[in-house]
Amino acid sequence: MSASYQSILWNRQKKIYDLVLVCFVVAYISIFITTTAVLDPDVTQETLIIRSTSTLALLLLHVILCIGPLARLNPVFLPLLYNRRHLGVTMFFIGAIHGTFSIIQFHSLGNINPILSLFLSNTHYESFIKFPFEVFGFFALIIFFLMAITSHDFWLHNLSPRVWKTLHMFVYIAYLSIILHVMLGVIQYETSPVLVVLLAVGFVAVTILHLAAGRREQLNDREQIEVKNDFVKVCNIDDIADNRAKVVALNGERIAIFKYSNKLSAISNVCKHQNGPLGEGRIVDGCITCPWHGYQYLPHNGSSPPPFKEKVATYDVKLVGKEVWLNPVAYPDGTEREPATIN
Amino acid sequence: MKKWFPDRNEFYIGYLPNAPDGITRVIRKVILLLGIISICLAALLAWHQKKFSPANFEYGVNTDIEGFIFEDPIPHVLIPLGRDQLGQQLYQTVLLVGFGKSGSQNAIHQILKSGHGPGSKARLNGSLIYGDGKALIQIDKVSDITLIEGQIDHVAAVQTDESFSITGEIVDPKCYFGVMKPGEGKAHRACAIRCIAGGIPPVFNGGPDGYYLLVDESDKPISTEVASIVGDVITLSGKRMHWHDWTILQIDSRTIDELSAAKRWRENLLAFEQGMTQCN
Amino acid sequence: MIRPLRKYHFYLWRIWGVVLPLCFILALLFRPASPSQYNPGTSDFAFAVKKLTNSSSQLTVELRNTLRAPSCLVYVSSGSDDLLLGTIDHKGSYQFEFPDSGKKISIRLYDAIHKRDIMQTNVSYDND
Repeated sequence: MSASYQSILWNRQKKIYDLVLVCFVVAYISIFITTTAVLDPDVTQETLIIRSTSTLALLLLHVILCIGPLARLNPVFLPLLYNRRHLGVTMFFIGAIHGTFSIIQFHSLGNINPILSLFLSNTHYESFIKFPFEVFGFFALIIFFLMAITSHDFWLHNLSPRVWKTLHMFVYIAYLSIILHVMLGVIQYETSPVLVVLLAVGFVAVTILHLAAGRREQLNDREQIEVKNDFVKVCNIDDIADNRAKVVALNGERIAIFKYSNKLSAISNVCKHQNGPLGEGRIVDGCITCPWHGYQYLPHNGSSPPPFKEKVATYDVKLVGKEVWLNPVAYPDGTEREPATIN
Repeated sequence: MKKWFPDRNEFYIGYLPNAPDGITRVIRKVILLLGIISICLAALLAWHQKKFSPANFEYGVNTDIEGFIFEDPIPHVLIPLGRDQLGQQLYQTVLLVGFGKSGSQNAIHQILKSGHGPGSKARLNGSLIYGDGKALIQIDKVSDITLIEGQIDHVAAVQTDESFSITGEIVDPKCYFGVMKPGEGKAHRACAIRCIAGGIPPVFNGGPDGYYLLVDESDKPISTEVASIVGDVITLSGKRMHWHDWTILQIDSRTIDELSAAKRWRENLLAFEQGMTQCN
Repeated sequence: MIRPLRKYHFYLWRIWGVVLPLCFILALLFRPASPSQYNPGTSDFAFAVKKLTNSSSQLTVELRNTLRAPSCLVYVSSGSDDLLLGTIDHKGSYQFEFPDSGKKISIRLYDAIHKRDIMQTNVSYDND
């Protein structure tokens, strides 16, 4: 969390994350290149670069896509989510090396512009199996490029979290494009079943994890209570652990009721940073702390402590005996509301 | 199992110097597992690639060859190898290609015009490309060809089969015989089309049945007409002819039209491409 | 995440769950049959020589692996002179006739473009 923008706000964990990532990239490329060159010395250097980067980018993309649902299913994976953007930008750079070398190798030094050649050489757009697979790779790379250049919080704030998140959800379109790029490209040439099987395992894992995480979220949303402009009983005071929250879905949106220092406060469950689930966070140093990137809000007014400026909606909450009652009418972001006191 | 799911009371904050112990332990194991899986994947994927062709492109190495140059049916140089026991003069055909994805027609035409026409003897300096017994030489510029004393006549191809069928794929010989690996199949299709569009003559790879140069009924080389079927496994029929150390397949233009269903589409694109052609 | 994005996620992955395997299976089903493959053998060349008549012999050269030279000339020598029999290029079996020479011959394979020998070997006549 930072009040001003820096290219990367380094901290110890981030350094460890990036160091592990660099070692991983170097190890993968070295092993791929060495194994290929030893087993088949007839290979060319260009092919080594194109293939080592393509398979690595594909592997990283699967890891990236699995982190989101894994972190929803078990918070132990949150450290992988915290710096996922570094993984994404790395994947884009590796994919860009693959794309650049492929364009140089297959499309440059011809009689037309290499980018035009990518679209105009193989023109079997009418056929599924003969379709120019390069086009899928190109569009996926454009999406990854847009995601990489907007990955910084500067863009997140300027585009608004909703627009940013929607833009970054194009990763799923890019993923489909990449699967088609591989299946209609190299798989049409290679005869070994290994790549086919690995790719199938990859997309089955990504799909199952997304559906499982989505199913869980859908079940949570089903518990929602339909109410009008009045207080409604949502739970018992003992249902909420100290310094933690209970998330309730009222009229379609989630509200987090936090219990802390013998008080209860209710705020929107959606973090202003990346729409993280505040209700799955904790009270740390008197502030509600988002589990995704540690953004903080004061429970009684939904505002980030100065100098930060993020604000979320607040709600009225009251205690009737041991019953927690909540008014679903949201106050404007950052409105101070008196917490309910626990006797 | 408990080791993988630490105390749910632990809470991770990314910008703090240290993560909680339980979460750290699990993440270490996850990273280690992921690392081991990835290294195995790298080796497995590298191991299971299709074998690369033993063809060769002597990139950066220039070789001098001497022979008789012709532009028909495709630019080539005939290197005299000597006479065999029957007294017959043997030649090795070396196809001539230009730099990058371009043919050598213009350069050869220019040289032959300045000399004594087809069959003029010349010394050529370029990079050799060879594989599976076929050889090409990349000539970067006209000045790499020097005309020398000597000339021979064109030798016509000899028909060996009136009706012959062969299954295989159309490749661009420059990539296939050494510049790229792989220089065939779907992954290479766009590059092969670009090479053929640039003037490199297409070659039909008949697998164990060898390689064929393609000409039409009037012995004109077939070129961009086959662009839409490059890289596809197809069967071609026509007259088979023997020509030096190459085989020529003479196919009628109707066959090519039938095979390339998207011909009109291609023609439109080629016209569009010509409008976009870079200065060269 | 806000509700519309959550819904978008879930419905998209339901569709992807069908579309991805479908693309995958279609791409596999329509995969073209691969042209015949190059299978490397234990040795690149095999030679055999036999008598055809009292005055002529036949040399069979079998090229087992793809040639790695731009040209390959076959010479036979039984004495001081090398006799050019012909050339070989594509993988396969090649037969050359030459005047009868005796018990043992020497074969030389020569790359005329690189101007260097590919190999030299002695071959004995088949007994039959």
